[in-house]
Amino acid sequence: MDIKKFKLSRRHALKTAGMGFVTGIAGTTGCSSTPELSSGPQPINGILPWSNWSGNQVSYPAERARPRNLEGLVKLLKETNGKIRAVGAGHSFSGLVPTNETLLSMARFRGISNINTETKEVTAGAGTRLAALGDELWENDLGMINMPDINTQALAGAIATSTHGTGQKFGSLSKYVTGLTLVTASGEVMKCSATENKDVFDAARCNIGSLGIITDITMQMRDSYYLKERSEMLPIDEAFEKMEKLRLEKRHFEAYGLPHANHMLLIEFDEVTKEESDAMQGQAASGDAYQTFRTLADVIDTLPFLRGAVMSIAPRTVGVEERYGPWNKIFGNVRDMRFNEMEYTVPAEDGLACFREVLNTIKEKDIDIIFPIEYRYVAEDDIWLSQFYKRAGASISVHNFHDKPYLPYFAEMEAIFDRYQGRPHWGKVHNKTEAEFAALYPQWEAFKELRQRLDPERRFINEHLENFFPAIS
Amino acid sequence: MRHKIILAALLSFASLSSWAIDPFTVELYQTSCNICHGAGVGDAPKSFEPDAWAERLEKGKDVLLANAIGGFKGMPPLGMCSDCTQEDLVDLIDYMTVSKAQ
Repeated sequence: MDIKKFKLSRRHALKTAGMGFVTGIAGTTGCSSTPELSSGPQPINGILPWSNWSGNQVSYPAERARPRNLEGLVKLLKETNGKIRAVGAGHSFSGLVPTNETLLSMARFRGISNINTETKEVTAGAGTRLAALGDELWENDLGMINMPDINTQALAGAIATSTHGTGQKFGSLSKYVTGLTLVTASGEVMKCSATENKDVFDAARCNIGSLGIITDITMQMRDSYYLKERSEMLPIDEAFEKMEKLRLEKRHFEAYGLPHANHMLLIEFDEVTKEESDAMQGQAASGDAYQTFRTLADVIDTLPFLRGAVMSIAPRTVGVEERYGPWNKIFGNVRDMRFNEMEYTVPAEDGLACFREVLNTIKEKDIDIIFPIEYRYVAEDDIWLSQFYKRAGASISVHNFHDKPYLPYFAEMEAIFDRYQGRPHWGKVHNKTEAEFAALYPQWEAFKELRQRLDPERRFINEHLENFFPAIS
Repeated sequence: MRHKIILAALLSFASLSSWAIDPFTVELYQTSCNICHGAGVGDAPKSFEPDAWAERLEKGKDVLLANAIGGFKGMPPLGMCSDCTQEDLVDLIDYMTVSKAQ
């Protein structure tokens, strides 16, 4: 979710609307005092808490390990026998990371280690952040085939959860993995690809951290390129009519549906030449989208009956915006607004119907939410636990501010996604059970058997994963 | 004499601190902190501008550390460095709150 795509800082449209109401209600939000000390988790008995980005997952790892190299990692796995969970950027909203035993950082496994200039395959360390990978690729005249709009994730974390961007022709990042190195619970180092340990390769490209520790990943890249981004707010019926055309004709596109509003933001992307990009490159939107949306949320909290008016009037003032630049700069955006998120992928052909039902349900049930709903397409793949396994998908994401209640809203949405055989994003909030996963993923049992073979002592299973991979009695 | 010793100690410390920045701290900074503190996104105090940090430092480094651990305003818990240790966070605060060593 990239809220800056609403270009609020440039237009100040929603902010103006929100601040007008704030003025009217005499300081109910604008004059609130700011606390001077964090209200977040603090050390207990000298143990540093771990928390994810949004703050909805917290644990107190007794040990923190950061091996310097492959030998150090193998030694750690061979000489210890407790549970281990690897952490990347902490951008998952589900309980994938929390552990009270050993938290493993792969921060010493960063950067590109090999570029095959003939095939354009690039090998990078597991802990490499996507933004840094993008910069390094750009310096080498290379580009990722596609990319999410958040680029702060660690590469191994993104792969472990089939993290994705948008575009019917483009798969998740996992789809472009051509090889990886996995260290198993016993310290065995396994090279995996389509021709070597293929079953592990098919499972490990979306492994939810449950098979072992990935140390490096080789991905198919391409020549560098430039992008043009065009965003436009349209009346909702017109937007729905246009979306199928955009899906087919544009390089990629995404939509943001505004709750309780009759408008939708459509964002389309096309490749352009360097010359066109250089000529058109302008200032990227930046700044106060967070404060703007917080203001709106606070206003609506105070005067909830104004929600419909605010959400209907404000979008009308947002016009067409265009942005040009290198691929890695257009994809990546600064994330200065924290939220919690649920995302489900439904079959691509059902995407628009599901999206419409989500927006209608929010209105009909008067759900107290202003956060836009994100809609994207992703191509199918053959990765066992990928949301896109043998099924092209439409991914629909719902959010709320990190400090606002989100579970009741997400539960309403999850019921809709279930009716469309939705598969949840592994790194986002969901309430799926093992039985439900078994029904959603044809290779579920194969994955479980492989997992048990690679990790018989269950060292990579935490409380969250225990729900899906219970001990075999 | 005593003052001279203290002054010499302070100078050597200042010199050491500019010489002894752990490259890994710089890498952590680039990976996790620079994205907001480099440009002052969301009113984050800008790195290497001591004036921007002065008021905060007056409250004590333990308060800065507590805020980095638990998150504060727009800053997430652990300040975007989900795999940092407490020692890393202390090093990062020390690195960001002073002028950049030349």
